[in-house]
Amino acid sequence: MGVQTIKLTDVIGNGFCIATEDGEKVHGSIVAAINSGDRVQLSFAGIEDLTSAFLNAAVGQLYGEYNEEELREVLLPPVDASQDDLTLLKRVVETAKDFFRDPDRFRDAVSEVIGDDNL
Amino acid sequence: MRVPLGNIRTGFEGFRRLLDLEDTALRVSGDQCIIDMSQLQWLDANMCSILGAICHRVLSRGVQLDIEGLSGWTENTVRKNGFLSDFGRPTSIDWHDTTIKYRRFLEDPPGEFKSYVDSHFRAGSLGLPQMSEALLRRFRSSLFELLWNALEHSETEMGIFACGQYYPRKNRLDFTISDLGIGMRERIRRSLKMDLSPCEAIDWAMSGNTTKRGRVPGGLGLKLIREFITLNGGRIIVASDAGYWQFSGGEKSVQPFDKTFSGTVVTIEINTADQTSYRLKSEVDPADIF
Repeated sequence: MGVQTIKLTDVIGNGFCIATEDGEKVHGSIVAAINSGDRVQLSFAGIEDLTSAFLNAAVGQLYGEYNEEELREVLLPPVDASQDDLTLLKRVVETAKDFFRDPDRFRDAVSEVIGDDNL
Repeated sequence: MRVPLGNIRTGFEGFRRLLDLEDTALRVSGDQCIIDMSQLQWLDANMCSILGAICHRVLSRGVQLDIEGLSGWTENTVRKNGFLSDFGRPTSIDWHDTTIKYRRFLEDPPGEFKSYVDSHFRAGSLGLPQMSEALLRRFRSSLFELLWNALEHSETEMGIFACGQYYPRKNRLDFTISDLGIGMRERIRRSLKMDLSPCEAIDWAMSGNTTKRGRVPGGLGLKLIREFITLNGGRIIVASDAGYWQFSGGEKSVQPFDKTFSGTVVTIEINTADQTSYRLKSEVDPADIF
């Protein structure tokens, strides 16, 4: 099992990591690497702007395609990332885990807002 | 038909007046509508975002629309930020560099919006208030999160409208982004079959919930903005459908309008003097992400 370093800014061609479509490109690279049997190391070098929308598409959706144990095995610690980037990535990953564990969690959230009787 | 417009400040009353304006203008029986601004003595320039959106909706219904009665300071405000160029009138120079231009984003919104944000909110940009590097980056991220929220959820082809204003003496920067889409309440109703009130729908969306289903998760963008604004001591306002939602000073308030706005308007107001580092107390370990 080899290691592929995927530099986000190389995949999308600039340091502007905000668009879902660009996140999808990164996601495609990650999936290709995993499916070829390699482990993946994401490089955040050169990132200027980063959004949750981009990371949801790039990384978040992996949690609907692979189980958490598999991903912990194949995704190595990211490199060249600022603490801001790491914080956002961790939030995205935690949200994705919740999202795919319980897709109907919104019902609980709504019941908190408007009360069970209205559901 | 002439429709008068009173003072517009960033807040419930300002939004209510603009909703009244839209409601009246959309019921024009003839083919011409004049927005009469002769009584207008104050206009928060960022509110040109929603005013521009409303004007475009009215124009799209085939109504001939024009603005009259502007004078003095208010006219200078809407010339400087480019709003009047939508009505074929020239812009004027912003000598104080406190204006964030009024813009409608229609084609390639991500690329255009990036250029727009870069031109106003890059370290060293003309007129940019003294902001810490951490604050500037968080603010830029919030703007992009707002854009994506509008693009992904509005379901409109009429564009996205943005405008901002820096108030140096108050250390405040207000930025408003508007869309003419289906609004948060209708989005939730269509996607989740949940019938919330307009204010409940906004509160639901601002609490980290998402209408997104399928393979790509969501729901974090607006929550991140809310957290950022809380730390910064700023204010966030959302108006959608007939709901008004505001978060400021750690407190949330909601209020219904008696008119409905088909679309969503989000205003973020940041405290530009804030020196918060925005670092978490415990740093994130790269080995503990996945």
